[in-house]
Amino acid sequence: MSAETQQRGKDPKDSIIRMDRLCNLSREKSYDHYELFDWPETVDEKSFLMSPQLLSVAETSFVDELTHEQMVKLSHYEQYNYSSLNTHGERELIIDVIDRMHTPKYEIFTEYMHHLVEEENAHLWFFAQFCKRYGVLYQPKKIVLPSSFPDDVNDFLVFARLMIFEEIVVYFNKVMSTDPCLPKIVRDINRTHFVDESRHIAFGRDIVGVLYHCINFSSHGDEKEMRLNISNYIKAYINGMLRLFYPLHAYTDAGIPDPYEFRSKLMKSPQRHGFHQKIVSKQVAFFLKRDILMEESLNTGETIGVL
Amino acid sequence: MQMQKISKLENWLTENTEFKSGSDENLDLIDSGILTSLQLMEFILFLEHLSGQAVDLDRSTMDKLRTINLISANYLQDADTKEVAL
Ligand SMILES: [Fe+2]
Ligand SMILES: [Fe+2]
Repeated sequence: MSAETQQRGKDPKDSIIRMDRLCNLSREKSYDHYELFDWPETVDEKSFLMSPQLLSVAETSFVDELTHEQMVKLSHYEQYNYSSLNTHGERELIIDVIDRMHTPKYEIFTEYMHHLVEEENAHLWFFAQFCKRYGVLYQPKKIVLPSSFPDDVNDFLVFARLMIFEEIVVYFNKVMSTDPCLPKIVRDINRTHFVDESRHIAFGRDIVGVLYHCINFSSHGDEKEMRLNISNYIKAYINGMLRLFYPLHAYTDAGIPDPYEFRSKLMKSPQRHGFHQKIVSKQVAFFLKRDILMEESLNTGETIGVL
Repeated sequence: MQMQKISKLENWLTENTEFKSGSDENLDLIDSGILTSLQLMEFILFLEHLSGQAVDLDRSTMDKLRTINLISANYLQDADTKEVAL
């Protein structure tokens, strides 16, 4: 960490100790992702591929309107969507992490960043493998516009985005890793991902706090306005991530009539909002505690979890 | 038909972004910050639904989406009058 960063940041000793511990854990838990799993020839078309309580229709009236067969089919395509998100979502986020390795600002984090990238490489491989062996690997529908934030804010946002994404998928991993109604391969993949991601989140919480602290607000105009813009961005990003779990392409492939309308109704269901707020509650508490999410931005504009 | 689609497009923008109804149809939706990276996915899904055609995502897509007039010329033309505008 550079002297300038140390001056504005917190005591780097805490981060050094934490990174050391995480590196040791990664070494202890390392595996060969090419050999780890027993891939069955096929997955049973008649059984659920994603836990029913994680489907985007859960807790809404659509559960009663769809037949059992439709629900099972939906669970297959929502699983392919979820696994595709893990592949492409992590791929996009990791590019920005690699971009920062071995630069002075990230000196104390770089060793662990190597483990993170190595583990994400394994994740991309096994999630994509799963999609391609049994179903479909969906491509992201996305155009990225250039950021209007200054560099040090972008540095913070790279890791904040990664952490937001990881905290959401880990909720899904945790449920699916022990769900007896899912094929063993789904449980195994989710358990493996869950274990690795718990370390990534610990890393994320550390570096996100440090990098927010490193933002040189005095050189970015009105400080309050910048803090508010960041807070609003975090809020919008969380909601943007939650929307990815309402996959139009998966509804179409599952044969849902009028999938666009179906999706809009689901996203607007009040029953879903509670679920969203539950799965992001830990990260919201984290951001609030550090004043990264500001009460002022929570009370105006869009509400977290209300899509 | 096309006019109806344009007014639905404007309604979507008014409901989901900072767009003010009645704005200039040549207003740059991207440079003015009305459409952000985070909103583009939803906007494209809506546009595909409205136009009934897939929006291919490549380097030129952004420039076809900059203004209401461009969106209309590139994605909302009735089949027989369609031409690509940039
Ligand atoms: Fe991962
Ligand atoms: Fe991760």
